[in-house]
Formats: sequence, C-alpha cells, structure tokens
Amino acid sequence: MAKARRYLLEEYATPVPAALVGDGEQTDAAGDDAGALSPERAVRVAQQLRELDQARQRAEAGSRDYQVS
Amino acid sequence: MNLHDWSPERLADVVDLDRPGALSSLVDQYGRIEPHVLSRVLANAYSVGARTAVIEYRYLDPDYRDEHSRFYSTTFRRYPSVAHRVHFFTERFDASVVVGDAAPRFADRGYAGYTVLRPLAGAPIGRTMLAAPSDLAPHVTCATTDTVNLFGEKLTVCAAPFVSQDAQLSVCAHATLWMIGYYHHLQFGSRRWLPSEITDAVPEDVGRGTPSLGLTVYQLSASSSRLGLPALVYGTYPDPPPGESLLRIACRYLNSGMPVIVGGGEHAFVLVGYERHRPGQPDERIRFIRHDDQDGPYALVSNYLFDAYSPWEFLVVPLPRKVYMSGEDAEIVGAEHLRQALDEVDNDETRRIRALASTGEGRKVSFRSTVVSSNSFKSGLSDRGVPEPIAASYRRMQMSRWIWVVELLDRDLRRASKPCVLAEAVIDATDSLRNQQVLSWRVPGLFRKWDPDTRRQWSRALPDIDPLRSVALVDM
Repeated sequence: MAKARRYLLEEYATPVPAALVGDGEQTDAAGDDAGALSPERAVRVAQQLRELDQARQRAEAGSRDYQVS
Repeated sequence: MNLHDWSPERLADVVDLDRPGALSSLVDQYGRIEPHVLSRVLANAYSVGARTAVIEYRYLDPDYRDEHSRFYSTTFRRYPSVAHRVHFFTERFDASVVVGDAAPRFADRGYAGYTVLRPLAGAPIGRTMLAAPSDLAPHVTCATTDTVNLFGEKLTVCAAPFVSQDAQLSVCAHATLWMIGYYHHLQFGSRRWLPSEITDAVPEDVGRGTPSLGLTVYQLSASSSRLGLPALVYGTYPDPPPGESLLRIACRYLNSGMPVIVGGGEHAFVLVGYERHRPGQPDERIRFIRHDDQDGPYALVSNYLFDAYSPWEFLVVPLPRKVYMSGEDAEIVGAEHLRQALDEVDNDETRRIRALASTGEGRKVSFRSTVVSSNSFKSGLSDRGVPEPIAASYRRMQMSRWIWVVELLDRDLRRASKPCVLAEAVIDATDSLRNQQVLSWRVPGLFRKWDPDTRRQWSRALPDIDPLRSVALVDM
C-alpha cells in the first residue's frame, strides 16, 4: 500500500510548497533563533507578561467575594 | 391573565402597531406586573420601524419549556407550558395575508426580529432577537444571524441575543451566560445551552442554587468554563491590569465580536458593541451598547464612569475554547515584534513610522489586537483591500484555528475613518507565551512568516502599499 501511494504521488501529484519559493519568498533563517525577539526585548516582554499574570490572579481571587444578582 | 386565558383558541393574531393604543394593549396583556423591560423591547421594535406584529400562540419555545420542566412544573401555582412568540415587520399588513391558501411571503415584508413572551407576569421577556436601532446598528459588533420558521417560511434576523431573568431559576448572571452562549452558538457553532443547563453549570457555594439569590463573579466565570466558553476575568476597579484600562480590554474583545460581561453595582450585564462619540474632538469618548436584562436591549451608556451600575468592577470574557492566549498578552508579544521589525527594516516608510511613534505631542500610532478565526481572516483579505503579494502569502500560511492579529494603526487616519493599518503581526492563539513567537509580521517593505514545525523563516520583499483596513469589526 505504501509503495502504491509513493507511486501515485510521484507520478501524478504536483506538490504545493508552503512558501511561494521562486515567486518572491525566500528562506532567510532557520533554527531556534529564527523569528525570535532579541534577548533584551524578550526579557522586557517576559516581565510585562508576568505582571499581567499577577493582576489576573488578583482579579480571580477578588471575584470570589463579588456577588451579582 | 390566568392559566386558562393564556393562549386563545386560535393560531395567531396580526396586530397593527400603527393603531393608537396597540403598544399599550401589548404592555397591558403581557407586562402588567413588570412592564419596564417589555416596554423597552417594544420601543426597540418601533425604533427599527415595526408596523405590524404577528403573535404566535401555543409556541413551543425550547428555553421556556426547559424552564417550565425544571422549575415551573414543580410549583403549587400552575403555569402554562407554552409561550407566545411575537414577530415584528416593518411593512403594514393585516390578517388577510395569513388567511387563505396563498403563501404569506413574510420575508418580503421587512422582518425585524422576534421576542418570546413567557407566561410569567413578573418576567415576560424570553429569547429575543431584534434588529438594533439604525443609529446603533453599525456599532453593534456582537450581532449574529438567527433563522426562524413562521408558518413554514424561513425568516432571518441579524441581532444580538437578549433575554431577561425570571428571578427564580435564573438571575442576571444566568441571563448574561444565556445571551453569550446563544450568540456563540449561532456565530461560532458551539453547543446551545438551555436555562436549566446553565443553572446546573454553576459551582455550588453557600446557599441554594434554585431559586437563586445571586452568583459571585467566580461562579459566573466558572460556569462559563463548564459551558465550553472558558472565561477570562479582569478586575478593573480600582486598579486595572498594568498598562491596561477597562476601555482597552472591553473594546479589544468587542472589536473581535466577543461580547463582554460586566460586573458592577452588584449587577451583571453584557456589552455588545461601542461607538466613538465625537471622534477627534477634545470630548471624544467611548459609549458602550449593552444588554441589561433588567432594562432592555441596546441601551447606550453615555459615560460608564457615571453609570447607574458604576463602578464597573469586573469584566468577564467568555471565549471559544481554542483561544488560549488573552488579548493583552498577544498585544505585548505582537507589538514588540513589530517594534523590532520596524527597527530592522530601514526604508522611508519605516523611518516615518518610527518618527510618528516617538513624537512627544501625543501618540500618533497605537496598537490594536483582534482575535479572529483564521478562515475569516483569509477569506476577508480581498474585502480589506490587501494587495496580492501579501494576500497570497497569507493564504498559503498554515494557521491555528484562532489567531490574534496585532495591528499598528495611524491614529489620525483612524479618527478620519480611513484605512489606517500600517503593519500587523499574526499570532497563534494557542501558543505558549514562553515562546514569544509570531506566525508572521508585515511592516512596510517586508513580510516575514515563521513555521513552528520546521522553525524556518521566510521573507518576502513588498512594494509600497497604502494603509490597509483593519481586521477589527469597528472603524477602519
């Protein structure tokens, strides 16, 4: 079955690449650093996210005492 | 009205709303004890131009049948098990349209929506889908399409769902969950929840669940999660989250078509849209549009700081299950990627944007974050005027079901209601914040996308383009 599938793909299928390679897009980076923020920016973002997380935890704690009707 | 008089022995009535006294007779018939919300619903119908009402008797409403089965069938006082459904039309016609063998063709008569009337004198308003008043309709971002069948004919209405509490099985919190649950059901295909199921979803606390005296915000949010709509909870008074405000949080989700529950004044209600009042003027402010089960649909809140329910202390935002990331988190990650990209890509336009961002005379640019389904994002590219090199790259990107789109806006263009998006980043709404990654970003001159499986990055040079329309449901 696998051999038949390979035959089908090789003979009849035209692959659709993820990128429009050859028509404008080009690979320019790969690996863990590809697309990442710089270390300074990453630290700043992490700090802001932590503060928001703490605010959410405070809100969730406070929500236990606030009644609506 | 007593048990035996509730439904007359006929199929329906056609009411000429233009006749003097028609409105009073409806209020008298259905709202003798609690007329306020009914009056507001009828006023809403009048404001969209309703001239004729068709009242269906012996209507089997799933929500009221469920309420009757769970609660009203257990009381000593007997309640009818059927409701009445009132349809509103902007064309004037009489019963001769319905009588006879010819098809009534209701769809050609300006269908404006319906309200289900429960045989509960103190809480008559059940499921209601009424078009918004024309002056508010462009600003209602949480409207969806409902389809009904009237004498065999399908009719559709676009509206934000509304219901009032019955103060027995449900209170305001349950009503807000019903409104949001029904909206998500129609808009996003989630499961429809009936009133008793909503009541059952409430985690137990001190006191009885039924009849209910009220819920805590914690119970409200936990119930939402049990109903398949995990909710984010924000404390907005006295201290909102750092870098955020009630306005920013609420508008972010309303821009995304996600209704927001507000807890304030020991009451809960639903925000379904907002408008910018006097944009660009010194007294510009946001006016929210809310559904308040104790006041009626589409109420305009002139100033939320001086509202009857001020201060608004909590926001609860039920979201589709696959939106793991909150809006403010997405905005922090997306904005930083866009700032980095603007620093890296050096051309006339990026230099101009950096200058706008650094001006000390008030912010000239701002960020806006919107959560959308990736399918909607891709199918809406043409409507937003996204030119082909960029649209083609987006269409061929594999995306998560839900994405956050963080846009950099030119505020002057936005105030002028012109296309104002200078750059954007697309974020996987299921991604971990520890990754701090974006699926793609676009700044003037360059488009870049990143594949989480292969960890490869592609770039594409872009020609100069004009600012784009925003993906958000308001403004440009």
